[in-house]
Amino acid sequence: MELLKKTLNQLLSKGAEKAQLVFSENHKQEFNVEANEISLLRTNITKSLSLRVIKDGKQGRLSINKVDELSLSQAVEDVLSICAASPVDNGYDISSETGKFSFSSGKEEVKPEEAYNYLKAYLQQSQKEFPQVQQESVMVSYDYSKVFVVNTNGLLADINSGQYSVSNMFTAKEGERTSSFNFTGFLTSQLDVPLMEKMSTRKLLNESVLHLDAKPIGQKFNGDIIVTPHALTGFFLGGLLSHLRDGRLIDGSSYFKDKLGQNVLSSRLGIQVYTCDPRFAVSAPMTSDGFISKDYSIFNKGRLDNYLLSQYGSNKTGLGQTYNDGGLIEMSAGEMKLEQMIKNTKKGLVVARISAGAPGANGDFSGVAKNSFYVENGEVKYPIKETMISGNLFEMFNSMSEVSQEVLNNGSAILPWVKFTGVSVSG
Amino acid sequence: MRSIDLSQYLNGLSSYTELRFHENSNNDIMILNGNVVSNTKSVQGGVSARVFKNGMWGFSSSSDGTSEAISQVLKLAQNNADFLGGKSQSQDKKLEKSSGKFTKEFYTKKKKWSQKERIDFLQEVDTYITKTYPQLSSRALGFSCIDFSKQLATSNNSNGQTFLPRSHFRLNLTIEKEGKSFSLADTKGGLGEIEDVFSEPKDLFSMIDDLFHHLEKKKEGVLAKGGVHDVVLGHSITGILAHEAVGHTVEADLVLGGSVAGELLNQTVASPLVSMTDFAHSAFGEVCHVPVYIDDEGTPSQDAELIKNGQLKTFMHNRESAAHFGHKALGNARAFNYFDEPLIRMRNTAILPGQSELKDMISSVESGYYFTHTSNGQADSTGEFMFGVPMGYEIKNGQLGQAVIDTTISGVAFEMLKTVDAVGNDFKWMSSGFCGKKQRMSVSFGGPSIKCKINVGGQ
Repeated sequence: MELLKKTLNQLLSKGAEKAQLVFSENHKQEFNVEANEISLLRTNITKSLSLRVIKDGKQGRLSINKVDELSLSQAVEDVLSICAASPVDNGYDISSETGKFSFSSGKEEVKPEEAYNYLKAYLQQSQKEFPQVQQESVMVSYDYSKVFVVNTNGLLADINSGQYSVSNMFTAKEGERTSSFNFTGFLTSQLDVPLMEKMSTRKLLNESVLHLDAKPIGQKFNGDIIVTPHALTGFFLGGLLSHLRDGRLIDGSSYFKDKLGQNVLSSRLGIQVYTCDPRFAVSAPMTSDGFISKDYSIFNKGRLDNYLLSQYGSNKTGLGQTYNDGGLIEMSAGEMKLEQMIKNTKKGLVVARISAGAPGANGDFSGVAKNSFYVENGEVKYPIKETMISGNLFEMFNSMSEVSQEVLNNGSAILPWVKFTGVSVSG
Repeated sequence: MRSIDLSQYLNGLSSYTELRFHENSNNDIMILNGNVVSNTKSVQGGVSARVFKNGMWGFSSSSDGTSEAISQVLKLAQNNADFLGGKSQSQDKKLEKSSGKFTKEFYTKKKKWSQKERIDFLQEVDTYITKTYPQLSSRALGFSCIDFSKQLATSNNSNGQTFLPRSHFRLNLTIEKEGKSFSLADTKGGLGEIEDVFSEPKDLFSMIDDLFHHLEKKKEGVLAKGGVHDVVLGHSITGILAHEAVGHTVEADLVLGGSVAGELLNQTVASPLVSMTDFAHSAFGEVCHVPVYIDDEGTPSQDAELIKNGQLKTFMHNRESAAHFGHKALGNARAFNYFDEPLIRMRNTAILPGQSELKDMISSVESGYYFTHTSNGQADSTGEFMFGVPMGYEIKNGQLGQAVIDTTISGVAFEMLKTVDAVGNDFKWMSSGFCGKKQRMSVSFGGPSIKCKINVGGQ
C-alpha cells in the first residue's frame, strides 16, 4: 500500500490531476486433467498494476506487472505520456469513493491433496458410471488474490478473496461414434460437494452417452425451445445484457435505449444483480472502476429498472450510474416444474448448448443447437445433431412462456430453465 | 525484453525441463463515435518453468524476472512434478525430443510512432468516415497491437529467441433502418510492428468504402432460408473453415479426448480438390502472419501437411502426443502468456488454392448463397462446426441477388468437405483472430473461395 501511495504522489507531482491505481497479487494452484488423467500441476504467482491518470480532461491507462522502483518510475512517465496523447473527453473520471474499505473471503492457502483427491474421485466415478465418456479437459484451480485500490480522492481499499474454480469438458466415444463435447463449470468456496453432484454433471455425462445416437430432426418448424441454465448463461443472457452496458448505450445501438422504467420484455422476466449474497460462492464488493457495489433489480416482471452503466458510460450518456458490474446475477425462478414444462411442449427442443456467433445488433441470431433433444407431444424423443435454431433475442425474451421452479447455481449465477416460443428450428 | 543465458539454470537437472522468459506488450486504441474509449498500454511478462517426471508435468511461473525468481520457479515446477509424478500410473510416457536453436526477431527499423501519432492517424480515418458516410449511426475503429517476446531453453539443448509483433486496424460500422441496427466489421493488418504494417490513413479508405458498400446492401437484405444449400464461400471465410472445421479435430490432444478424426488417419475425408496445411512460418514464398520457427517446447517448426488431395495425413502434436502416436513433432506447442503451459495450437492453417475462377463458381449455382464475411466460429469433437456469417448474397440462376443479413452456417467437416466441387485460384490470409482453447492464441488462417453444400441458418 505504501508503494501505491508513493506512486500516486509521484503522479501528482508530475502534473496529474487525478489518478487511480489497482494492484493485484494472485496465487494460483491448478490441477489439469487431459484425456482422463491428472497430468499437470500448475502454480502461478503473478502481480499486476494498472495505472489510470487524468489531466486536462485527457486520460491515460497503463498496465504492468513489475513493481520495482525503476519499473514504477518508468510507468509514471509512460502513463502520463499516454494521457497527453489522448483527446479531451468529458466522460473521464475516477471513483468518488473516499476513505478505507476492506473485504476478505476465502482461505489464503489450501492443501494440494484436497483438489487432487477431489479430481481423482470424480475421474474414478465417471469411469465407473460412464465408461464411454472421455474426460477431455478437467481443471480444479484454487485462486487467492489480494487487490489494492487507491486514488487521489483518498480511496484506500484492500480486497482479499480465495475460491476454487472447477471446469470439465467431456465427450462420449464408442468405436467410431463420437458425441458433441459438452462442458460445465462452477465456483465454490470449498470442495465439499462431489463434482459429479454439481451443476447436473451426472445428467450431462449421461446425455453425452445418449448423444452417441444423435440424429438430425429432418424437418423445419416453428416451435418452443426450453433453454437450460447452461445454455442460458452465455449466449442468451450475455447477449441481452450487452444492450444494457456502456458500448451499446454510448453508441446508441442498444435495444433498451430510452426505455428505462418501461415494460419492455415478458412479465415473466426478473433479473437481479448482487454484491454479496451467501448463495453465491464469491462476492463482488467493488466495481471494476472502483466504486463500492450495490444490489440492483435490472428487470422486474419485464420492466427495465436499471442499466449496467459504469461511471464513464453514465457520464457519456447522462443516464444513472450502476454500482455493479453484473458479475453476480440471478434470474427469477418460476412456478412450474421442469418436468411439467416438457409435458406442456407440443413440438420443440431442449437446448443445452448453442454454438453461434454473437447476435446481430438488432437481436437476430442463428446457431447450432448442441447437446440438445427433440421434444414432441410432451415427451423427450431423441438427441439431435446438425440442427439450427434461429430467432430474435428480444422477441424471445418477450415470448417467455414458462420458467422453471428449479434453478442451477454455478457460484456466480443462479438461473432457471426457460421456455421461449416461436423459435425457428431446422435440421 | 532483456536477454540472459537461460541454459545456465538447466545444468545438472535430472528431469526434462523447459525454462521460458516471455513478455507480451499490448497497445490498444479504440475510437467509438469520435470518443477515445480505449487508450491503453499493457506489459505482462515473467518467467516459467515446466518439468516432466514419471509421465507427469509440473509447472510454475512468476512475474518477477530475477535470478532468485528463476531458481524459485524451477524449484516449484520440480516440486509439482514430484507431487504428481509420485502418484503417476503412467511412468512409461515418453517425449519426442527433437531440438534446435533459432533466433528470429521482427523489430521495425523505422522511427517508432508515438501514442499521439497513433491516435492522430485514427482520428484522420474517423474524419474521413464521418464526412463521407454521415448516414452511419455508429462507427468504431481502432488499433490492436500485440508483441510477443520469448526466450526459451530446454534441458535437451533447444534454444530460441523470438520477437513476433502483430498489428491490426479494426473497423465496425453500423447503420439503422426503421429502428433496426445493422453492423458489419472488418480488419486489416498482420505480422509486424505498426510502423511496418501501416503507412498513411488514406490507405484504409478503400477498405472503408468497401465495407460501407456491403453494409448498404445488408440494410436492404433479407433473412436466409434455413436448410442445406449450394454455396460459394468467399476467400475470407474458407480460412476459418480450415481452422475450425478441420484444424481443431486434428489437434492430437483433442484426438486423445475423443475427436472423430482419431479414426480417420489416411482415410478420405474431403474431395480430392482439397488439400490443407498448417504452415509453420512461410507459405507461397512469403513469411506467414504468425511465423513459428521454434515452438515453446523447443521443437524446430515445420509445416504440418494435414490433408493431401482429400486424404487425412497427420495430426498436430506436442512432444508428448508425438511420442504417443509415433509421429514427428512439428512445432505446434505454444503458450500465450508467461504463466501458461504450452498447448497444441495451430499456426497458419490454410486450404490450398485450386484452379477455379470465383465468377464461374457463382454462375454455376442455380439457387444458393455467396457468403463474404465471417465473424466467429466454433468446432466440435464430432467435426460439426459453425461460423457466424454477417454478410452474404443470394445466388439465383447464377447471378448475385439480394444481400443476406446475419446468419450462421454449419456442417460436419469431413462430410461437408466431400461436397466441395470447385476450389478457387484466389487466396486470402486472415490474421486478426485469437483462438480460444484454455488460453487465447494468435493464429492466422487462409484459403481460396470454394463451392460446396452447407447448412444455412434462417427462416
